[in-house]
Amino acid sequence: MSEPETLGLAEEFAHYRRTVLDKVEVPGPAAVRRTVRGRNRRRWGATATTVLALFGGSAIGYAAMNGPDHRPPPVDPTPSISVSPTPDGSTSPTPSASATSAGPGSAVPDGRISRAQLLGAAVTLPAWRAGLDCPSSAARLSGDSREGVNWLEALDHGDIDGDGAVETVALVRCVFGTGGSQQVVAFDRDEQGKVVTLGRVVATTIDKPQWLFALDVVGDGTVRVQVGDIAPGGGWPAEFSQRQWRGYRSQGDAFAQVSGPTSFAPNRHDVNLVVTATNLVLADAADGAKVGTVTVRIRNTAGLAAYVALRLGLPAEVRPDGSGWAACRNDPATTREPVRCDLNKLEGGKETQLTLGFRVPAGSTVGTGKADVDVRAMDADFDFVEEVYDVDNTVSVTYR
Amino acid sequence: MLVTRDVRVGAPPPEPPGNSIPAAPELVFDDFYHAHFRGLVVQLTAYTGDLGQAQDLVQEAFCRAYARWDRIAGYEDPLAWVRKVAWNLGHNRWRRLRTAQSWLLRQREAHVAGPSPDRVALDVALATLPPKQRRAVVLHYLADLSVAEIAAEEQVAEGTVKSWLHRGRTALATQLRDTTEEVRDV
Repeated sequence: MSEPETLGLAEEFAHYRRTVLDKVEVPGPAAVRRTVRGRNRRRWGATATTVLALFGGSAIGYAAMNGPDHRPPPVDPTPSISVSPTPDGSTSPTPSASATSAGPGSAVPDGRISRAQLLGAAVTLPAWRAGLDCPSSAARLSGDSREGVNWLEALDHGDIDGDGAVETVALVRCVFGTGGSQQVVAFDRDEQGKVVTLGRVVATTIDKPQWLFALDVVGDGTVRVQVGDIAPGGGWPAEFSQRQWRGYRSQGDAFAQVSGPTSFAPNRHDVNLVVTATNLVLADAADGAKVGTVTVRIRNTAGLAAYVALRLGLPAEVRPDGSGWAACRNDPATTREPVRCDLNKLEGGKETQLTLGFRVPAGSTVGTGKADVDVRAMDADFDFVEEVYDVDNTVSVTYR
Repeated sequence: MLVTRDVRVGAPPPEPPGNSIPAAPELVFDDFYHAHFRGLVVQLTAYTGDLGQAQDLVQEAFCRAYARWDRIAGYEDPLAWVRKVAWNLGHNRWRRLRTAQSWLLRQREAHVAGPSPDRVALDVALATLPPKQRRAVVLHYLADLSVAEIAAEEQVAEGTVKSWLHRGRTALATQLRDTTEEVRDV
């Protein structure tokens, strides 16, 4: 852009400033004081009325609502400047006021909603993800964690949209067993004092974050939420979860993350081994021994690769036999009760299948029984890794 | 306390000689109000295209500042707080809808003069800019903020502000040139 054009633009704005300045109406700081005092009176009046009504002081409550205001009218030390009428902004599609409005009659909604007030209000929640039965419209929040309720877990206040007034932010959980889904929701009040929902700040997902631990609104209006990658509950400890503080800000129509990490590092507990196995049926061999096989299928259904420790709790007389054990890094023949096979790394989403031979030497007898086939994940240092969901790590087979 | 580059317009007359009473907090607020109310209205008018709305937003922002003046008066730049609040009030969708409804209820009939053609031309040109460019241009030309100050206020990099300003200026110049030529053609 050329210098003359830049200078021309500066002059356009200078002219614009002069033109608009001539037309500005100045209500004055006295009007500010009247407005704020009026709001404070109404706020205190409403609080007093509520308290008195709760404790049966209906007559006094009535007086509080209707009694004359004995305060002297505010003194106006700085009279408003009288200027020409405000032109109608014909270029704007928005409604136009012809005069400033902040008189004693206008009220700013008080968005500071207490826990008790929020529990007592019917609220609209951003929809829960499919499959959850918690209500989201005309919903009541609950102070406890009964199954199927919207549990109000935490609450904080702050000016989250930068409008100079305080709003309320709540951490809500749709309780399902010891877990469920969670979301952080922003609330405000409308001019009638009704609780209105501003929107969702963040929610848990099937993927990550699976959990929201804590909530904190800081001075600049950022809503800080401590998120976790793996949900606790169901018997596994919250320590499995990696926690992060992430900051969210209102962008007008929605909240967006403005600070903190946006992804999680790999979690060592993000492993899920699943095992299935066939029964062991022993048959007579030519040398008088009994032989048979067990087919073991192991899947790693989660994200991280894991070394696999396979254990088969067969009687000591049932010995490993044949080439099916070649995949083991150890020597299974030296192990017994259980027989152990340490397998190589199994990548996430992959599976492996083994056909393991067994022999019961001639002269030994084994009856019929049940044996556990168990798989455990190990990390690169061959330390065992606890899984979030481990009921599918063991299967029972019959031997006979 | 005041870190302000806004043009001080509409300030009250100076104190009479001999008046040496220390300024009470309320008087400090009054000075602050008078120093910045009209300048902020000009900026908000340029941003919203609507003088009446701008006056409402700025007055409301001062109300919110007064309600917590003890704290805000101690800020390094209280003007930035009021300006931010006023702009956010105009920007937030739910506020806008709510305020629009209350305006409709309160609106009174008034017969007033229309805006000048020059003002309309700039209003129309500004309305074609994306909000971020419009905000940057208004803050630069009407709030007299530097690129660094705009970047701090908008929490973006200075390069981003420079880009907004460049694009905004180019679009405005084109719009205003076209408007001028249309007028000439008539």
